[in-house]
Amino acid sequence: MDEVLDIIKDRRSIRDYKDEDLTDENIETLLEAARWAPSGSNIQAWRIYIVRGEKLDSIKKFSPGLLSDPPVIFVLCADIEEAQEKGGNLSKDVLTKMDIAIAAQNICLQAASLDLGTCYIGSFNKKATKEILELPDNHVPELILTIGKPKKIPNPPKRKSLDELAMWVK
Amino acid sequence: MMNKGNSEKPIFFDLFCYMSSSARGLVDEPKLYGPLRLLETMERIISVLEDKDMSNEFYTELKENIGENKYIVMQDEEKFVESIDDIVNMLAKKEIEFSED
Repeated sequence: MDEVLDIIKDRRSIRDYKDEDLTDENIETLLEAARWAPSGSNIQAWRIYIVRGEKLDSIKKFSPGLLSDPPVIFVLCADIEEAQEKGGNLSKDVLTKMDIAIAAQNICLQAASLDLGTCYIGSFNKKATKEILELPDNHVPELILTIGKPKKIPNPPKRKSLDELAMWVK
Repeated sequence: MMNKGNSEKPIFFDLFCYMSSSARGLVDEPKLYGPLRLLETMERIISVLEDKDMSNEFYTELKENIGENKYIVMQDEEKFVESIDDIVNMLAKKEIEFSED
């Protein structure tokens, strides 16, 4: 099987992490993977905050979807000012959010290739996160990624069949 | 009024952060996340009771049961609902024990 497809299929959402930190080298590799993600009109209006320690603990309290204890989280933000200025409403309201998702998936796949676990967290309070991280007004948190060494790897959940997902147009 | 800085955090403070964030999140989230957040709240209350040496074997069992089953919500709705029924049943049986005492 193709190596990329192997990694895609092996990636799981990890909700149980070992009590071990990541190296800065690991983190930099993940960020580099994000940097090479495509973006609408190549605007790249996303920003990533790398959060550990007390700030992570504080964000966790306001993140009902963050139930694990990862050593690091990435808070992926939209720079709405840059998006608006360079790409108008389409970029600010739609494309930058998509770009963040694409960058996040690059991170998740790169992490999987390094035997690191990740999980997308959408259930978190944006206002509290903004306050805790003292973000500038133009940086809006859209997604949290937990990252760490997996303690437990869950079985793959059910997938819809391709017949349900894809329609061949003739 | 709470002081800023290193004053001792009042009991249930973290739980209230969780519950208020859950309340806000649930306005927009999938409906099954409501039961999930309530079960998680039970788990967290039991953890606070454990920290204060106010828990018991039954609550520990209840907490373990919740912890083992809560993530099913993202994989199998039917099994998740069954696991909630099991928890209610555990409590109902306990209630009968109390009423027979």
